[in-house]
Amino acid sequence: MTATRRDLVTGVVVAVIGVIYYLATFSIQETSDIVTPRTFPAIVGAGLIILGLFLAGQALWQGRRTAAGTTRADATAVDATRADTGPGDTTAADATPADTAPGDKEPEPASGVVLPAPEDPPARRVVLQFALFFVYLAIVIPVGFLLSTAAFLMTVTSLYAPEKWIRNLLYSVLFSVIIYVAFVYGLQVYLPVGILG
Amino acid sequence: MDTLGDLAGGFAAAVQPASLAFALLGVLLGTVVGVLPGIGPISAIAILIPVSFGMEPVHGLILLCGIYYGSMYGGSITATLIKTPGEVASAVTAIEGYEMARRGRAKAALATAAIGSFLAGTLAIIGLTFLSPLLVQLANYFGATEYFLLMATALLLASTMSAGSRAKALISIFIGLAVGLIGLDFQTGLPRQTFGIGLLSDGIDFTIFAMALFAIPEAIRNLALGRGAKEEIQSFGSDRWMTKEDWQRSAGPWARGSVLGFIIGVLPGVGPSLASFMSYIMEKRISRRKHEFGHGAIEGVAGPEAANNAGVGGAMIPLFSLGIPGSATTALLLFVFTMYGLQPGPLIFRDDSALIWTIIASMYIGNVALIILNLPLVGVFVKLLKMPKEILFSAILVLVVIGAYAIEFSLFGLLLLGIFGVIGYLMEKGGIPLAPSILALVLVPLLEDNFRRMLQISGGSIAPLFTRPVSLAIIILMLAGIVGPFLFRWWVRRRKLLADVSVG
Amino acid sequence: MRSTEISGQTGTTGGAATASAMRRGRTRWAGIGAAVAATALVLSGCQGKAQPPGESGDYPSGPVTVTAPAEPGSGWDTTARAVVEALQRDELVTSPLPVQNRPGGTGCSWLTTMMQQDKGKDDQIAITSLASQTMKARGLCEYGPEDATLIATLYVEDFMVVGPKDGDIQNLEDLVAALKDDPQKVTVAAAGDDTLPFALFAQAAGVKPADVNFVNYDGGGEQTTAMLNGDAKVAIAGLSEFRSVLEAGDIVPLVTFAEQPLAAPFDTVPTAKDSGYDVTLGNWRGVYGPADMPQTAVDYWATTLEEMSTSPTWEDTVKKNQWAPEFKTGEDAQAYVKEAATTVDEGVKATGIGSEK
Repeated sequence: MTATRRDLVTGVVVAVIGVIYYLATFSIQETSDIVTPRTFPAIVGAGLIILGLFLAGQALWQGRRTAAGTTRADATAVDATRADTGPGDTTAADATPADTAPGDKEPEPASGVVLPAPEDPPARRVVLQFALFFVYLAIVIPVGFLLSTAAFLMTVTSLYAPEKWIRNLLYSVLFSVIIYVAFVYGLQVYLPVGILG
Repeated sequence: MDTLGDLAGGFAAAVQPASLAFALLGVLLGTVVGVLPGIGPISAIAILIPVSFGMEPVHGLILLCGIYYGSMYGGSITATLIKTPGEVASAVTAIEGYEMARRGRAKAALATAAIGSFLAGTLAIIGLTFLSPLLVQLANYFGATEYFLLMATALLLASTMSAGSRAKALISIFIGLAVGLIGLDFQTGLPRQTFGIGLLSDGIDFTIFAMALFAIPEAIRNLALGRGAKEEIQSFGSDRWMTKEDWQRSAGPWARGSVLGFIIGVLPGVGPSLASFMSYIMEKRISRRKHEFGHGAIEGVAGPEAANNAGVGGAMIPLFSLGIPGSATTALLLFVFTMYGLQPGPLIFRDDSALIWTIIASMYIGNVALIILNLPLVGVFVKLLKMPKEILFSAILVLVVIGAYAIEFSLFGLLLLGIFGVIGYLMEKGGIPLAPSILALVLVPLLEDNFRRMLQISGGSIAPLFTRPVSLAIIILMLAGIVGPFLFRWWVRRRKLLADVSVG
Repeated sequence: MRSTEISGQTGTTGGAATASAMRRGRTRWAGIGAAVAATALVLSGCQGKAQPPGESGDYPSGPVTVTAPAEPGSGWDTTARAVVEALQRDELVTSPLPVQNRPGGTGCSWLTTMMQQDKGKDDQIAITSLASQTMKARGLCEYGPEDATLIATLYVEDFMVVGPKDGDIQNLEDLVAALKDDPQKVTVAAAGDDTLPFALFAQAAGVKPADVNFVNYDGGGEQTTAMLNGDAKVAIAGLSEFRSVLEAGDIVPLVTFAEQPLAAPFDTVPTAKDSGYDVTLGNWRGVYGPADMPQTAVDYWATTLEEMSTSPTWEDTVKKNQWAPEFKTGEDAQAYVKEAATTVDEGVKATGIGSEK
């Protein structure tokens, strides 16, 4: 996804969230105060809508400008943009033209080296990791901390390094037990016992 | 010099081998507890309340103060190493600190945090010792109008916190505001934006929000990358202690952070957290290395950490003299103090002189214990990062889940954690910075309450913004801050243009 | 349900007044507060499972959880701790009494739990107060404390109206005159439901309660600051919120809504009733059990709390905090609470804070 496409999508999503948020403010009971309980949420909802549309509009405008430029130059330029910005746009976004950090103009080598931005993992693996995490969240209370945590850790580490299964198993079991003991007996934070209880 | 005499008395009570041992123990416990996400100083203090009452009051107080300082520092350790801030103040440290760690500079980051905390903490206690009566007056100039303006300014400034597009930073702020408004309205007790879900009426807990936004996307991303991906965190062979340059670059932020933190800390309600954010923003604004911010600028760790600890000292002033706790932790400390027979209020320095000086002396000692204990430990903590990625990040996920569980004790709380984790991931993906929304979440109640109070008091008019001296001063400063740079840039460009023309 | 609790053996002086510390269900710190609940804790893992309800004879056979449905340091929390402290220090109860904090919806969340999940159990008691009644009256909570098993009322914290030392309003007459002149100008700093008695007072003085200019603050500390910086002309709250500032002389008392004149040094403060404004309302605190609590348990607690009310530790705590003892059990307590409920209903109707404010 190019930086402009990304901004377009982000802007639209933010605007939609803003609309939902704004609509939700209608269910807040009105009062006779000068500033009612609804005022701030409504402002925030409207703000999200405006900002989202602004971002999307900015992206569209920039996209058109880039497109105009590329048709004149060469169609491959689009791919070039993609290669530049593709992997590098997870954090602090210095990808969009408008975003250009002032530092880019005056490079000055020091400890604050600009690292190559972290790689973007493939979407389906992110979804898989999130799915695993949600399963863990869902079972930790009914199944209990010890079992669910050991299972979660085993799954995650084995997906990552299947051949080290002995280490993974040891880690999963020991970490769960140590943490459980530390929290329950040391900090008296009672973690769910679940089916073991 | 009555103050000095009283302080000496406090120290006489506090400095004994046993006291020092308790101070070290407290700091150690505090650090451990602070390192665990979701389990903050408040838990440690609550656990030890029964224990501390079995002890001499002096020892109990020293132990608890040690825990408080230790856990404040412990929070910055996790923020730096694994991007998991346990409290508002260390959310800022998670920005530059983690970036430093990724560049193999974790040791320097932790060291500058520890030294800055110590210096600022000590300065703030000195300030507390000598300036209390003066500063308590400050509160008399800060009414609803000024508070509102201060919060609004902080939010505006927060949009300059992150590199990149202003619009995105503003979106981040508005997301924080949107989340912060969920729950019962403080003024009327009416539910707002709960989408009919009763469980949402208590609002979204800050810790869950911060953990979810920072820690989860980072962990998930690293786990999803799998092996073969480029190593995230750089080799540690080159991890050096603070270099001479680091010292030079840290000194200014420490000093500025201490002063700023102490002053903001005095304002009840916002205290340390606002201080650390403001310090970050200030350092970024005045730095000659603006471009390094967001890429591991040491100033971005040194300043906020100093401000944070100075803020804690500052927050003790309203706590002692007005009985206004600035946070849940100080509320609990207040409870402990009163259990020891302290009666907070304007007369505290007269009526409870001996006890209050003991408390102040034990803060000095706790601070010293903090640095004695933690500087040597920096190397140990940094080793954590050497763990294989899948182990480190899966462990983080488990710890955040425990943290969330310990806050809400419910499936709902855990689901909130997961949902905000997804939101955080998507925000990063969309290039929306995370830190401004965390500040916004913290500030929105103060912003809204005080705005409503202001209008309620004036009968709907916004005139007080311009008629109250302090408020007018803030507005003028704000305008100068916003318009000033534009004018300056315009002037520079014009001069350059003129110069070019004359050369041409 | 599984929960974690703060073990009860805390403290020497019980809950020496930190009432100012966010005493209502204000949830700004509630989450963190709950984290405390996560702490110092004693597992009562499967409450209810541990002991079958209604087992008579040597009740209580196991730990009884004392819940403060608010954050640590809040009014309910200090009350809970003071009660447990007195019960254990004076050895009135030998079973463990873990204190747990369960903030949420100004006590509504926990009250609902006690009405539903914990119905019929005998190993749970909790602290409640006037605020819970207001929640119900305003339609914000389905239940009020009188719907569960009310065991006893413990004490009353009297409401007091105060003003700054150098303010325009120095006594009750000034206050009434100022209110009649232009209620908009008399900004009243109040925390949440403390608006109620003041609104009733305004009504009695011939001022429309809706016209009173209430400004919301979080507690005594904030209210004091607001008066000192001129944001608020007067403030209303429980006496303990202002005690230290009153003693320092920075603010002056104007009127109280107590039944009887207060104890020294506030014995010269006029009560509204004596001054011809028929408003008496105090913020009572009490203890309640789950709905349908077994009679053995109710009787046990009524008797034990009565013993406690005259125990040295409790009396010391009450004195330190300047609470007005109002110990009632059984039907007396019911009647007392019912009367308060009527006043609250009336107040809510008069002020219209149920629907608008």
